Amino acid sequence: MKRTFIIFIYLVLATITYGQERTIKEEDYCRNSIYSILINHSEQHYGPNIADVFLDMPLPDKFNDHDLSVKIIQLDRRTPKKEKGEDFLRRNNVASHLVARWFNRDPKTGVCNMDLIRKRGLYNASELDKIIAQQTIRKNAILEDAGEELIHNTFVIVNDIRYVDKEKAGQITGMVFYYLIATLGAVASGYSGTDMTNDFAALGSSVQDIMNSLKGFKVKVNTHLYRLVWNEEVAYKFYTEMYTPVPDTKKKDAFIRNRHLFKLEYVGSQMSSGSEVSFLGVNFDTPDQMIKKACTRAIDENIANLARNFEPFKIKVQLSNTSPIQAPIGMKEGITENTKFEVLEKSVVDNKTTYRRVAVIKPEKGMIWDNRFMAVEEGAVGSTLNYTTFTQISGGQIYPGMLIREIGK
Amino acid sequence: MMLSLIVCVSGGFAEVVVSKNGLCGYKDQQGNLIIPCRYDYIGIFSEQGVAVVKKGHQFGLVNNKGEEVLRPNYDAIGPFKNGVAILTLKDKQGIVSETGQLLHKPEYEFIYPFNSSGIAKAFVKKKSKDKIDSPSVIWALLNRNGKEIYRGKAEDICLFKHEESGYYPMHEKKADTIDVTSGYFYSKKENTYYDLEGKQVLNDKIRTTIYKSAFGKNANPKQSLESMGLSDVEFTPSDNVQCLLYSKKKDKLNGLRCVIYYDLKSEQIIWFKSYDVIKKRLYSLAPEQWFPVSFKYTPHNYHEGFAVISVSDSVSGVQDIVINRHGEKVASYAYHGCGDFKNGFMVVRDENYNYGLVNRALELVIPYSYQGGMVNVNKLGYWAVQKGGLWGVVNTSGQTIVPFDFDEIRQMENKDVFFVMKDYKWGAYEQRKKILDCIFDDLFSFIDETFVYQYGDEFGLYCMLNYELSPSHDAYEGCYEADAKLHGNQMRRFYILGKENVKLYGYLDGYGNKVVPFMFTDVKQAAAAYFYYRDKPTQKFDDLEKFRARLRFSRRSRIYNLDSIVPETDWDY
Repeated sequence: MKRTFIIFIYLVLATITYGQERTIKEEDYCRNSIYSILINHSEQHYGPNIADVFLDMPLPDKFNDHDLSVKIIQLDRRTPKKEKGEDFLRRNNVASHLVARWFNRDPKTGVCNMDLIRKRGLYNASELDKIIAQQTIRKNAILEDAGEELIHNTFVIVNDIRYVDKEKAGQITGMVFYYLIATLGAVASGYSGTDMTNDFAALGSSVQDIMNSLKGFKVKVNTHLYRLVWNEEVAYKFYTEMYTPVPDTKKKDAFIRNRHLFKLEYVGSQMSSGSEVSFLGVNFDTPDQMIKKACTRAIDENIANLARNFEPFKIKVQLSNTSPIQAPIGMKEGITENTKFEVLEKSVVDNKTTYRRVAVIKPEKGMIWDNRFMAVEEGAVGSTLNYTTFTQISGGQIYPGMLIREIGK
Repeated sequence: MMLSLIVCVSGGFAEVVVSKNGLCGYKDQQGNLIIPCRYDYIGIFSEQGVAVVKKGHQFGLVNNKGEEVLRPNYDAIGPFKNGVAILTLKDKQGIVSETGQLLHKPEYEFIYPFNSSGIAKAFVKKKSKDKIDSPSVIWALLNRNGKEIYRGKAEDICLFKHEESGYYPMHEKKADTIDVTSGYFYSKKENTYYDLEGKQVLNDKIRTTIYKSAFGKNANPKQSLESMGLSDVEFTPSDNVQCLLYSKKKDKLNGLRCVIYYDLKSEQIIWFKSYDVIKKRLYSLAPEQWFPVSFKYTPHNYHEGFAVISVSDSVSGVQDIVINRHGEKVASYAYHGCGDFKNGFMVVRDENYNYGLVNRALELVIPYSYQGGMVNVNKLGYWAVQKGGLWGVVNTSGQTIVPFDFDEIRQMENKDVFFVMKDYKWGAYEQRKKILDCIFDDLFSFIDETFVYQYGDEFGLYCMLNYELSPSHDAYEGCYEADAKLHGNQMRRFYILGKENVKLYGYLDGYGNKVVPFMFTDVKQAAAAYFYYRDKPTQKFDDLEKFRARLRFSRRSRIYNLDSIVPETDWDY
């Protein structure tokens, strides 16, 4: 009787806890954080346009924004081709600036706080403050968890964008093209004393040239991925010698002196296919949208492939529904009919997060969301789906809110 | 006992005298009491010898003989600019000249300041409670003679964009656009140009007449342009000349078929060229057949008496041909090599992409010796050019004004001040004299004789009048764009661009003091705050997040060399 009652209670509880559909907020899980940089080739056609477009590109929505103010690096003819952005990152102690961002460090006073970690890691505010105040840092599970889940999952992506020139002997230089496109789009020219109204008409016969050049605009993007190194030693040194919630000259100076201790490690690279992007959906009044479309899609393609090929960079997305199985992920993340996803159950034990595979799913044919940049404007099939629908191919019960992660084709 | 106040009068000094009971009069330089002490206030005399005076709560005008040229019956008289001022009587506004002549009686609710083309807009409300974008509100354009040259509804004429440009409609999708440039204004709705007297100088009827008179032999007088399969494209008038282009509809700008230059003052065709694609014949008023037979050419508009036509064909390649106001060829330059005349000079380029300068006599005053250059010489005859990869400034005699030491130069149209950049740090030259070392993170033009500097995270003003940097306690966040609107007491409303390019409005006075902080996303709120903050000390922003947003915004488009070290001050964290 007693045993039956216990089983009954268990079943009731299980039903209440797990048997209902519930709405999951997308923010209820930790994402990777990224900082994106452009390597711009000043001498190439459309160089200035690509730089402008890069600054306007939407941040991939499956990542946290960890951008810094430095976004564009210039590569000119004098610099050897094989030189990478790595030297730039090292020489400028970019890793230390990424860490500073995590702790919202005030460069003037050295004051830090845990606001961003709290927000992105969904931690309890008072617990974090207590830990820092009590200096119980070493072996502290929460901080370890924050380090592993958040800080160590900070990535720098360096995008080397090259325009694929259809005509080798172009008659118009990059800067003039920039000027022409700026005139078309009514964007202020970089030159002073220029009468834009008359210049636009004066260059009227080149308008068609611009349009023809932009149709079939292609770029090749080489994306290099770096990861912020955050381990027990670095964390301990930071928390004990550099972190301060109040103005402290000594700790402020300690951070500046020890910038070199923070490092980035190279993870891998990806080259985009350079495939042609259609002009569909581009407004004729603003043809420079074409540049944005081509560049955004190429970078998204690289990010999706990097996520597929490098374990630390894999994207995790929450299931929105289980009947049918749906998640807000699509072609932008590189999904095809042959990709498979593992369904993960997240658990937090003693303040430490762990993931366990509970099932495997794959996309249903014809039900893949086309969420690539400007897919809707293009009228692409699947662009209005808002979710990709999946079929379970193995494993046990899955529930809304569980995370999915690609496991390869 | 009378107190004397020295006030500045054009051409010298005179004295305003104040009597025992506090009333003001005026003494001339010889000490003669010209204006008896009967006014509560006397303003500064203008060059025309007229000053604003106040009696009780009313304003008027007196001349330097003491005569009241406008009796003090008005509630306010604005500052004179270019010979006219706006006056107010019982909440209605009109226009008065410096001689005291009432050019337009006070009948408008509000008259906006005159722009550089000499046009002001004004509106009249039928009911005082009407909002200015209400359909019942009537808008007008006035010239400096006080004449109303255009009248329309709210949807026709709306807000300034800024002083130098045209008017932009409030309801952009529905409304007309009035574009005021080069001494004409254009109504998009009517497709008509008006001169400043309100006369229609170019409308559809005139256009058709022009076309048919040019090509009369082959044009049916009753046939419209549209039915002939031709559409037209126009430039903005320049030099009182309108350039009209006609081409087949499908390729409106490419494959140009005919161009006509029409003088709006004399109402005469200066020059035209046409290629009849059907009969394969070329028609022209010019006696010489010196153009290659090609339909592909690109005209420029007239500037300072000359226009440039770019012509291309398979035989001669690309040429720029310069014509005068009679349509006569006066020069040609190979390889698409010249700009337009401006300030008396034209930039030209040779086949090796070297730049030079020609004068109005078409003499090459500066040979093809520079690898880059600004497209125009500025009004003072300075030209920023590039040699050996570095920028400098020369005058029209070819003398070096600013040495060729810099990576970038900002040339201003009306000034002999240049902002120069070396290793991403900005400095300034005034003619040959260096006035600021290249230590600033940014420098840009502000108002009048001041410009803004940025040094690390500090912004401030540099005043050219006294060559002084503004005190640090007056430093403000920065002014990335200045959309200055004069708002009484010489206060100017500006905005800076915050996160996601949201405009944040605030007020500065003429010395750059921040009267209202840059925190209002709504213009009306900023204006309301102006009255609240007017008498309060300036406030300093120290919000770290706002600072970071500003810094990130200002730095994100900056390009760094791969082998450079980014300054600490360029990082937001």
